[in-house]
Amino acid sequence: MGKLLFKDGGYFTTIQDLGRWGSQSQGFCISGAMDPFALKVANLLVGNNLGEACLEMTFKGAEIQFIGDTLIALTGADMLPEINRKPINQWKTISINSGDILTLKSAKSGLRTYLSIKGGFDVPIILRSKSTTPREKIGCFKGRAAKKGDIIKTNNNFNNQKELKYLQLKDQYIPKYDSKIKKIRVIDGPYSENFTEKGIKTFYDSLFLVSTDIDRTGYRLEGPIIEHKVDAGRLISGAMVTGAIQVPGSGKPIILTAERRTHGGYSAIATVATVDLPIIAQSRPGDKFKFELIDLAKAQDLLKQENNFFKNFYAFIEDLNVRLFNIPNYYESSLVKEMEV
Amino acid sequence: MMGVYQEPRFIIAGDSCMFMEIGDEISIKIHKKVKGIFNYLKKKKVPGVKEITPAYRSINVYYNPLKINTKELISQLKEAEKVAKEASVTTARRIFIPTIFGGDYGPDLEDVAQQHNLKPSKVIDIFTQYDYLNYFNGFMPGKPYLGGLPKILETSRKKVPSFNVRGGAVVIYGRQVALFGLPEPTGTNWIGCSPVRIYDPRKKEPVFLKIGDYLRFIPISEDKFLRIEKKVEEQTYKIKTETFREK
Repeated sequence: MGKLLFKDGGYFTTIQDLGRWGSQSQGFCISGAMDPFALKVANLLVGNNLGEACLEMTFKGAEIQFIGDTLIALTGADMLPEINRKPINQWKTISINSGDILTLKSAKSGLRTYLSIKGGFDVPIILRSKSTTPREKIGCFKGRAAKKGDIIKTNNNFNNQKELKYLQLKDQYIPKYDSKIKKIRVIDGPYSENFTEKGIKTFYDSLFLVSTDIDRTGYRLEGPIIEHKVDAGRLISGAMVTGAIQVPGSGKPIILTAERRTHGGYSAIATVATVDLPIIAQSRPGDKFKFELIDLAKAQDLLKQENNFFKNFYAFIEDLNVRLFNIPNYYESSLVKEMEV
Repeated sequence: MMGVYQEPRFIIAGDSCMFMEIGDEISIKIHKKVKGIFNYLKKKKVPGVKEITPAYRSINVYYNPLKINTKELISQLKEAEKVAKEASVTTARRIFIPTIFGGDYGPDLEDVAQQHNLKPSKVIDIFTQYDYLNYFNGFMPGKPYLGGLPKILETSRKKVPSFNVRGGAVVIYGRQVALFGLPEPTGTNWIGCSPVRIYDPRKKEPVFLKIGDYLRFIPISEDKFLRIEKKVEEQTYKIKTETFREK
């Protein structure tokens, strides 16, 4: 069993997996990784099930000393990682010797970085998930972010890494986060009928600025006022959906993200296609969004394409010696089954 | 207002979620139907459905579109609606929530009493005579959305919200009641406090209340409050409940 010793917790570092599905009817939010794509890749690069929990680091990364030899991978925002003060690459398998120190800086582009570790983290599983939700006081450290002096145990038991070669995602598959204007694909509704034609035109024709008021619950956007028909689009409280773009009385949209509340009472003008949620997760204040309407069939087809990418993941990496890895089968993995139905 | 729709409305909510809306108001009739459909779907475990979440007049169905297409999903949901229609009389739980009212435990009680031209003790008398139906849990872990506050106690939200009202707080707003599991900022009127924890992350089943439960608040003294609070802390307190046949 290995350990991670935090010499610095970073700006906001929590354990996240694919979320606490199945407990919204008890009032628990789904939580989970803001950028599930980066989390899944990080896991596959170290031979984990793709839904295993990772460290999610926001804006400024942690400084971590590893106890025990292991393998890790870093994906998502580029936090200029160094091992023992020597720069290393992200989106590839990294071999760690006991005592090594990983140092991360502020994100150069993107906002959130994921650290996977072979075997996963040995943290409490609450209602079938390892995700940390500070508001609900659940997860690692009873729901708080990591800080200096914290220790997290890992499940790995790994001594023969000398035989391993390293996996690296091919460059063309690595998402780029640096463009200032981001195209976000959305599906109409639910309850877009509560907006005027003018309001809907404003939404699709304008650029919206990511404000400084962003967190794992939602992203508030600045831009022209989106016009409602009556009563500010207020509804009888209903359950909500991640990616919904709600417009409260102010006329300024809010995109609901991973730690959104279970229920709420505002009309959504549109909902972000699941495959584009990582774009939101990696956006920072000052970035601009342009929304593009697609239909349900197209959004579901994009999801299918992404699923195929993960099914064939080991065809998209370079320099590999996969037999040594005992790759989990996407559909056989029990954890994935639980996460993905 | 139409009450219950003749046919449920299916509303697309992104590529992996469907809203099933069965009426356009908050009513016990609609609630019973929502509860019936929710319980049926929970038992049936439709392949490809990840999660179902009820609310006042709708049910959200989260699904994996790679495992079930929307046409098939809608036909499954229509069937659930039909079956649930046929189930009528059910049993429900009545849950007794010991509560201390007023003072530091309910700083808005005086205000509420004044608004209604009643003595605070009369507000407590009226409030504790009724059963409050839990339409669903949501917003925070274990938090019930309770309806059934009598017209005489109907109270609008406060103009200035309070910061972080404590867990266990009993609040009223409009014709609704809530009981907090965790502290949260709120604009509702805080009238009392229960030592009972409806959300206890130490427990294997951390949430106590279920959809369709009825809550009855029982006034207690500060002494009793402190005694129960200690038992709750030690995990030896058992919340009193009874089962009855719903009309």
